[in-house]
Amino acid sequence: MSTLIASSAYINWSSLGTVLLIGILAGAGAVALYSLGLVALSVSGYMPGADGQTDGRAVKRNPLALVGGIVCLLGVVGIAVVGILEIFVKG
Amino acid sequence: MNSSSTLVLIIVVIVGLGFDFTNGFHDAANAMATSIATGALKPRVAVAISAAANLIGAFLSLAVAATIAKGIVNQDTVTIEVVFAGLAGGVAWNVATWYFSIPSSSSHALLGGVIGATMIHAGASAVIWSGVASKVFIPALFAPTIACAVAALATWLAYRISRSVDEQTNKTGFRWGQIGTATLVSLSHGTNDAQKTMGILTLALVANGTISSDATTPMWVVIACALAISAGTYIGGWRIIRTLGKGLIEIESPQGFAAEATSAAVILTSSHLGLPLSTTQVCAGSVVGAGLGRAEPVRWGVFGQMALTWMVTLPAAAMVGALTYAVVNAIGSTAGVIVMSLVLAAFCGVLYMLSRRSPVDPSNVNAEWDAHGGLSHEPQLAA
Repeated sequence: MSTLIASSAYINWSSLGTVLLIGILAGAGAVALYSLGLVALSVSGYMPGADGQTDGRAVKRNPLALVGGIVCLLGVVGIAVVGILEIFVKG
Repeated sequence: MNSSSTLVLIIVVIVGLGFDFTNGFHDAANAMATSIATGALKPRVAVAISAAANLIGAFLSLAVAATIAKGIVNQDTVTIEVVFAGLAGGVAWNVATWYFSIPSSSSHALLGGVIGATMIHAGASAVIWSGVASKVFIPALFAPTIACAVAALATWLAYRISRSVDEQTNKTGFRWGQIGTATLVSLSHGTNDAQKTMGILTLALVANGTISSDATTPMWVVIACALAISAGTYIGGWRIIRTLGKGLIEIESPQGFAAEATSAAVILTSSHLGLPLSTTQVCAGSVVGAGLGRAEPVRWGVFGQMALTWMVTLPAAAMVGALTYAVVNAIGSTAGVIVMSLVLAAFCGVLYMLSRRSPVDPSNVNAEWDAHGGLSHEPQLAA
C-alpha cells in the first residue's frame, strides 16, 4: 500500500484528467460531429449514392440538411485548427 | 576547441541526425498506418504527406527542444561523450525494434541511452529517478489506456451515428476524414520529435563549448533535424506500419478515423500541458480502442509484445548507452567515439541486411495478417 501511495505521488492526476476530458470532447466529439455531418450530407440528396450518381433518380434534395452537414464538417475543421494554433501558442 | 573535439562533435551531429532519421521511419506508422490499412491513401502517398507534415511541424515551435532530458538527469554532468552514447542507445533500440516490427517510443529509447551513459559517467545519483518515474514509466501506463478509452467511445459514436448512411458514402467520407486527422498527427509528431533531436544536438554543442549554454538552437540544427525526420518518414518504416495497421485489428475507415482523431486530440492536449505522453503508445492504444469500440477481436498477443517492449525500452537502451560510454571512456574520447560509431553502423547494417530476407514494402504492407503473426519468415519475438 505504501508503495502504491508513494508511486501515486509521481502521477499528475490533474493533467491526466484534463487529457482524458479534452480527448473525449475534442477527439470523440469531433468524430461524432463528423459522423453527423456525413448523415446530414447523405440525407441532403446532394451526395453521390452507392452507384456514384445523384442525377436520373427521384432524389428529394434537402438544402437545409446540406447546410447542416457542411456546418458539422466545418466544426471539425475548426477543432483541428484550434489544435494547430495550440502548437503556435505553445511555441 | 581542437581538431579532435571538432571531429567528435561532427560524429555526434551525424549520429544525432541518424537518430532523427530512425525516429522518422519508426514513427511514420503512428500517423499513417490506419490510413494505409483502410486504403484511404496509397502507401507512398501516405508517407509523402506525413513527411511534408513532419517537415512543417518541425519549424512550428521550438518549445520542446529545450526540455529534452530536463528533469531526467542532472544536466551539469552531461558531456559530449554522454550525448553520443545516449544517441547510440536510441539508434540501436530504434533499429532493433524496427527489425522486429514493433512500434516503440523513440523518445524513451533516447532518454534510456542518456540515462545509462550518465550512470556510468557520473553515477546513479546523477539520474533524477522521480523524473524517470513521472516522465517515462507512469505516462507509459496511462498513454495507451487514455487513448484506448477515448478511441473506443469515438468508434462507438461513429458507427452508431452513421449507421443510416449508405456504405459507399460512409467509406468515402471517413477516408477523407482519415487523411485530415493523420496529417494532424504527423504535424504534431514533427513538432515534438524533431525538436528532441534539436535539443540533444544543442546540448552537444553546449557541452563542446561551441555555443554558450543560454544560446538558442542554431538554425542549421533546426533545418538539418527537420530534413532528417522528414526523410526518415518518407522512407517509411513499412514493417511497423504493417504491425500497427494490420496486426492489432482488422480496421475499417470509421475506426481509422476515430483512432487518428483520438490520437491527435490526446497528443496535442498532453503536449500543451507538458505531459510527456509517447506518440507511439497513444496511437497503438487508439487502434486497440477502435477495435474494442466495435466489439471486434483484438490480437492481444501482438499488443502484449508491444507493451512488453515499451516496458523494456528504457532499461535496454540504457544498457546500450552505458556500454557505449564505457567503451568510449576506456579507449579514449576521439578514438572511442569513432570505434563505437563504426560498431553502431555495422549493427544497423547487419539488421538491414537481415530484414531483406523478409522485406515489407508498399507492395505487401497491406497483406493479410496470418495466424503466425504477419508475413511468413517475418522475424518475431514470440510465436
